[in-house]
Amino acid sequence: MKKRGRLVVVLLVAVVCGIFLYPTVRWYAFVPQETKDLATGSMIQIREYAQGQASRGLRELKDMFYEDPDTDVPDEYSFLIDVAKDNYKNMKSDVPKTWTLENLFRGFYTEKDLFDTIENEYRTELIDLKTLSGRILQLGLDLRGGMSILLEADVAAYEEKHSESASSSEVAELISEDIAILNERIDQFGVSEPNIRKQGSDQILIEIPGAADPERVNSFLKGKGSLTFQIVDEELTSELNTYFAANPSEIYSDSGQLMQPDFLPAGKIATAYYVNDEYGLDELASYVVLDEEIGLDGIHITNASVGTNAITAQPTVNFELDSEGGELFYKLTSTHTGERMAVVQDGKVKAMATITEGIRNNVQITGFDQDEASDLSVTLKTAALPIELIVVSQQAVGASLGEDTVEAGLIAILVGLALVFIFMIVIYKGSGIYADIALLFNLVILISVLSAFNLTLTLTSIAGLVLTVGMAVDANVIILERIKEELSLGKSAESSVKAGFAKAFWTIMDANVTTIIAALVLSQLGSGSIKGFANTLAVGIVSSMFNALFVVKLMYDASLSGKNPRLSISWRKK
Amino acid sequence: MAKKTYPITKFRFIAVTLSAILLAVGIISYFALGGFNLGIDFQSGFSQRVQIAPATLSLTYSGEDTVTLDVSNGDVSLIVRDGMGSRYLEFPAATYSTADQMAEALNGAVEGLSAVALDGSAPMTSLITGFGLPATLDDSALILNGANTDTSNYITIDEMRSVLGSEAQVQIVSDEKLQIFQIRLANEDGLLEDELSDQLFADLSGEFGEDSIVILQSDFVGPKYSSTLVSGSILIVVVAIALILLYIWFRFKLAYALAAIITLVHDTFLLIGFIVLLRLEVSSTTIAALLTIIGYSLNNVIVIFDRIRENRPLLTDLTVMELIDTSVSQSLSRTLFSSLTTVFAILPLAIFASGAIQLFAIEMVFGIVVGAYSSNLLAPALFMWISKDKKDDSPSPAAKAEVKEIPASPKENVEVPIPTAERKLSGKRKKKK
Repeated sequence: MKKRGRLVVVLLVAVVCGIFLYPTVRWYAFVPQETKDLATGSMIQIREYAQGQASRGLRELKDMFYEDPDTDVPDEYSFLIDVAKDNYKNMKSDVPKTWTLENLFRGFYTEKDLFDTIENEYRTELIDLKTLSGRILQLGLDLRGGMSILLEADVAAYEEKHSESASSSEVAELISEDIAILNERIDQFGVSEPNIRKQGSDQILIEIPGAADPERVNSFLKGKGSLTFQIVDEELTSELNTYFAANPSEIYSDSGQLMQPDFLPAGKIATAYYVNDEYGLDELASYVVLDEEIGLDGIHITNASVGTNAITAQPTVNFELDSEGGELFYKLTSTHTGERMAVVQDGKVKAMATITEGIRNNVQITGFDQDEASDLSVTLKTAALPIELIVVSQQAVGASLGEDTVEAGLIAILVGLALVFIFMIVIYKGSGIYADIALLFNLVILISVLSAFNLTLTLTSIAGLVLTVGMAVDANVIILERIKEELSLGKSAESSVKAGFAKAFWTIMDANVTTIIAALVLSQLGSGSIKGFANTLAVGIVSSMFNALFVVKLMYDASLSGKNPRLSISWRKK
Repeated sequence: MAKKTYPITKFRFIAVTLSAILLAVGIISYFALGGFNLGIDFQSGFSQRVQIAPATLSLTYSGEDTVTLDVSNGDVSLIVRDGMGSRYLEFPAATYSTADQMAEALNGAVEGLSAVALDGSAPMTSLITGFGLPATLDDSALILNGANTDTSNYITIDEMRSVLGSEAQVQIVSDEKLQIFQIRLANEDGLLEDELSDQLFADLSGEFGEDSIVILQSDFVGPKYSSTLVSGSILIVVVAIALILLYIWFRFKLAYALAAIITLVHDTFLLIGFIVLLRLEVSSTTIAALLTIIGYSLNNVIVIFDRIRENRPLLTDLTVMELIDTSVSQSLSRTLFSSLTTVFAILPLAIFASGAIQLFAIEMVFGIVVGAYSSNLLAPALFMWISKDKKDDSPSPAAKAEVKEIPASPKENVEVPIPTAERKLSGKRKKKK
């Protein structure tokens, strides 16, 4: 290949690396910590935050408007002007020249419309960042603190309970259902969003970054308190809906929580009634006032299914309760016959149904269409996992230990790098600098490949990184030693370099392929932490070969083809 | 040749004796010391890293809003979501250097937040965090701990052992006065994770007080996991060695492959002996170290064998011993330099890191030294003996004839077929001459 062609290839690699690295650099260097925390939270948290900020914004604008309607729109809300402009155009009225608050407010159809626009602005920003965070080189849990739990299906307990044996494909299906349920329960997890993955056919791996609180994890796994049955207060419910419709800025607190208006007496709580929206998130339908007292906890549900009413052919949701739950439910339904009962999941109303009579163990709810019915049966099933899980292994690392490890790792990499750098220059003079440049480029390639493939940087991959630093110069050493030999045979600089590269090629190939084989076997068959090491090592070796045989060669060709060809390979005088 | 030739093959008996002695040391220590010091990866159990650290700050929050606290390197940060919207407050340890100052700053920061310095003069930079951060503050006190700064008074490993009883394995991590302990409990009764962790916490808090125990790290491995890991690890090593053997066989002649594999097995066992002798904990990172050393040591051997293979048709006037001496000497500086750079890179990790990674680094350093020794002294000697036995690699007239035959009719290879890649290479080299 011509020199120019090779230069293009090298530049292309550099550009691709830059593209891969850009999200990572942007995330770690330019996104403030506060925003990072928010963006890595769950979608629910993001929505709560956006709604909270919108409530605050709306209130602020209104206050300013009451004070003086001719105030200019504050800069932080300038994004509203663009939307208002479009609205003016749609309304076929003239777009105002100056943007006072009054003109801005006129640019929106309703107050709700304005609220939605502000919410949308905050949400879009965070969701963009969330997408970004999915494309960066993440630190593993062992480095940033967190918890990882490996769970396995308790097949023995399942078989005992159902008194039938479960085939492995059945277990795999049950595990998938478990995962779906655990994902539903994520909402209650708060600060950070857990990552739930299936591993093998009968295992689930849960990784929770940040706060590693074993107690919270346990309640998350058991699902206690996530699903309840509570009685609806009709009178207060209609009062609440009227109130919220009139005061949209009073619905949410700034933390995105539903506000509890003052007129609600003790023992009554305002909740939101949600249906699933097209994003898979719950969408608000209306507001409901409930008795705070929990009628029944969902852990008593043993089974739930969708059926059809034999007479009316309406879809029904059927569920069974255990004996203790049956007693409680009978008490609840017989004292509240004729009232409505709400199915509440994580503080949000998922379904409501009128109680027709006192019911004990087998419950049938009607009044939905087919989709709603199957949604509800899924919700009810989330109260209990179809197959119980046992903890196979659990690792938790506190954040400060992770910080220390990152620090020690960085020091080790820098010291190692410095030693190798100096060594190469001491031994090979100018050629050592070429090798050092190649080594740096090698690290850039390595890190950008790791980010591109969304691999996480764990403790073991730091070891892989360090090892790569040491081994990456190996190919250069082989070539340089060869060139030196050729020189000592009395060949010219240019032909020595040429012969050195040619003779070293297969040696480098043979020598590195064996290490790559070992790394690939590890990455395919190794356990989680080992995979990180093996991947890093494999990528590092391949890119070190590319650097030695391609990038460094180009540097030599460039320096030897100029007007003043020089080859600096040793401090010794010839 | 311009380079000095070292009489490598002269040392072959010394090398073999040395290797035999080292292997024997490994085997003896295996039986004398009672086998491997298995980590919890391989032997189901529970391991926690715990720091006994005095409570420094106590924080409560009585307001209506959401206040989230996080600590990083002594810097305290608060995210307050209240009537003023979402606020982010930072209290750097550089500005508020003691617990007193930090408590005062925090007290004024958010209404309803009360911070009490439990150890007023404690430096904020010594603040450590275990599980549960970032934390949402409420009316039950959140305790922040600071590492023990009292150099004269600290809990020793013996005190810790007497608290936990003989069943627990206790180790000190890093500086003794920091009071960081790695505690390991065997799980013979098949208890669950939370039962073990509760039991340990109860033991510790009974002695040192609930508020001064910070859990830095916690690992639990159930019996099922460790048994699959053992079989998995064996599979990994076997598959890797088999594939590598196949590759060398394909690229070199069988004599090279045999010598290489014996060297590799030798290196592996020396490393295992080293691990046994020093009672290093065997975990899944040990498997990684073993495999990396296998790959690395082969790397060295191959570079040397490659040289022998290359020199053989060129230096036909030398005896096999001279040929090996020349080839090893030619690649000696490369082997040493490459080993040195790798040791340079990995040594800082062995010094600065802790836990499994430090062990990995130590094992790697040892492995690299062993690899440098065996590839330069042992592997060439083994190759010499094996090829002599087979009588197909010595530069006898027959072998010379073979070399001459290659360009003429490469397909009619008499002894051992040369793999395609090599055949191409030898053809190319022949043309150049």
